[in-house]
Amino acid sequence: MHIYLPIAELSANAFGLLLLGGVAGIFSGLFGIGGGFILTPMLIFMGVPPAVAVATSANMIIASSFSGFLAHMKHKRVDTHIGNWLVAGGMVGVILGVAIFASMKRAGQLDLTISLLYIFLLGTVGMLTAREAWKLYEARQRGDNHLQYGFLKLPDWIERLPWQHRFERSQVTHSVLVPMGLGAMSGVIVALLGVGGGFIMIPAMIYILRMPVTVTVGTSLYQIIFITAVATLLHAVTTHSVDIVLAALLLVGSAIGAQWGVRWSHRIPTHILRIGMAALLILVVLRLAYGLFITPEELYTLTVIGS
Amino acid sequence: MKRALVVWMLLVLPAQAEVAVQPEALTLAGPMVADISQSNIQIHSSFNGTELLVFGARNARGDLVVAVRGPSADVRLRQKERIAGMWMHVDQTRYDHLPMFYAVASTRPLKKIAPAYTLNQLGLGEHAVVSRGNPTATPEFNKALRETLESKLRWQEPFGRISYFGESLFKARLHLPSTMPRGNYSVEVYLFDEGKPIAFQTIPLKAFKTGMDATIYDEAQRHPWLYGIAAILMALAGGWLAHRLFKKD
Repeated sequence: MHIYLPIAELSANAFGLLLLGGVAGIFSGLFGIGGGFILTPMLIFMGVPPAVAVATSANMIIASSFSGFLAHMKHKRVDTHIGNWLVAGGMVGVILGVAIFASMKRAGQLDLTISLLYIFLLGTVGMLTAREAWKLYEARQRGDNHLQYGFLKLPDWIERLPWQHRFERSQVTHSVLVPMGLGAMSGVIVALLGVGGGFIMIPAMIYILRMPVTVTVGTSLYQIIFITAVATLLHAVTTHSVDIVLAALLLVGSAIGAQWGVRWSHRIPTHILRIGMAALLILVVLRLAYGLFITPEELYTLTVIGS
Repeated sequence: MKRALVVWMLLVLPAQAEVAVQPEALTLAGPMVADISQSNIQIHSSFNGTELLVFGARNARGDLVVAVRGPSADVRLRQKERIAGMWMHVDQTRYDHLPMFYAVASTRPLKKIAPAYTLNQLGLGEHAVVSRGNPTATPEFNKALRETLESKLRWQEPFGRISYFGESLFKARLHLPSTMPRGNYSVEVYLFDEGKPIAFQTIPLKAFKTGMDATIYDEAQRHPWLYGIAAILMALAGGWLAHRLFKKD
């Protein structure tokens, strides 16, 4: 059944889109990450304009992070106190990110910017994940089931920043500027790439904010809801690039896919999951890079000014 | 006898096509009068293009030209080049007030009907339309612009065929493609004699989108704040529903 996507301005198979959402959902359930960084490149490969792919993914992620958040909230695994500071910083980041997005679109360099940022970010995360998978494998050989993580030693001036605050739920003390700065960084990423940014925020919460691992996923989802919501709204207002029909199909598929992903993830050893995720990230990077280097079909692109 | 036939056709043809000939158009026309078979085109979700009939009569000799000009926009044409192995936009040119649909049917090639100067004055033909949009653009950009628009069937020249019935009556059957943009069009009919336009008539045509996807597109453009809030609420409702349906107890 073909359906016309009003904002992407193309006709696509509705079941194909449900399936695509499902695949993103399976990966997010399997690897415990948002499906955004798989979804956005897939949409671009399908022919959806990159601006629409990014804005629509942000819209869809509101849904997946909200349902995830509700589950974590029930078990009180959310630090809303630190989360609010992350959100406050995130707002600044999103506004900055959407402004960069809109000006890159005007300059005709948005598609290139999105591809390059994805290649850089996914390439880095893919390599780190592969390294982690290898360490996990070595640890298993020795008989350990868990890796020991060391906290990141922050420069002194960060420790001495003003507005130090005690966060009771996580039992840590930080200047509020630290979560705000991290939130701002993730806000820029959300606005530019249409991902939740959990794959950066969760490590940052563990290593930089030293939060208990049990509250990181819930708190990350909590801040992602707000940041993706603001990103969706600002993309809708500045570039009119949110496709509500596409988002609806993707979120139905992803909700179902995530259930399967979570179930399968309990049966697969962690190091195998990590290797799978690293391989997937590297594959997406290679495909994006291929798109930049092959000779395009059309050497000229026509855009309407001020539409 | 011939004159009687023309009068009869003028009375009957428009009535058959269910389009009223505007009285002022008749008086303006002088040596020529023309009309179109439909003045409103609905672009619905399964729209596959449509046939437009342009018909009329002339009482002078000469060449006929029918041009269909769509809604115009300011556009930017960007050129990609390879830099450090990567293809990226490097050069760009702007064209102002360029019709997003343009198709020309004529009894002979335009170049043979009138000199380039006259065609440019009238803005008739792709060449004239391009140079009106940007008189200083390079030939490479102009060529790329025409090719880009032609590849989407937005621009077509030559387009369709004009056929005669006897000396005076003419008919052009034009196929408007599914890629036609919505908006206000004008159908321009010219009669040229020895390189000079001796009669001209313009007939308005409107193309509008109907259906759910058109409504969504319009809302996204007209009420972007409301649209954005609706998108957020839809996603929150979807997330809540997924949580209720799949929660483990």
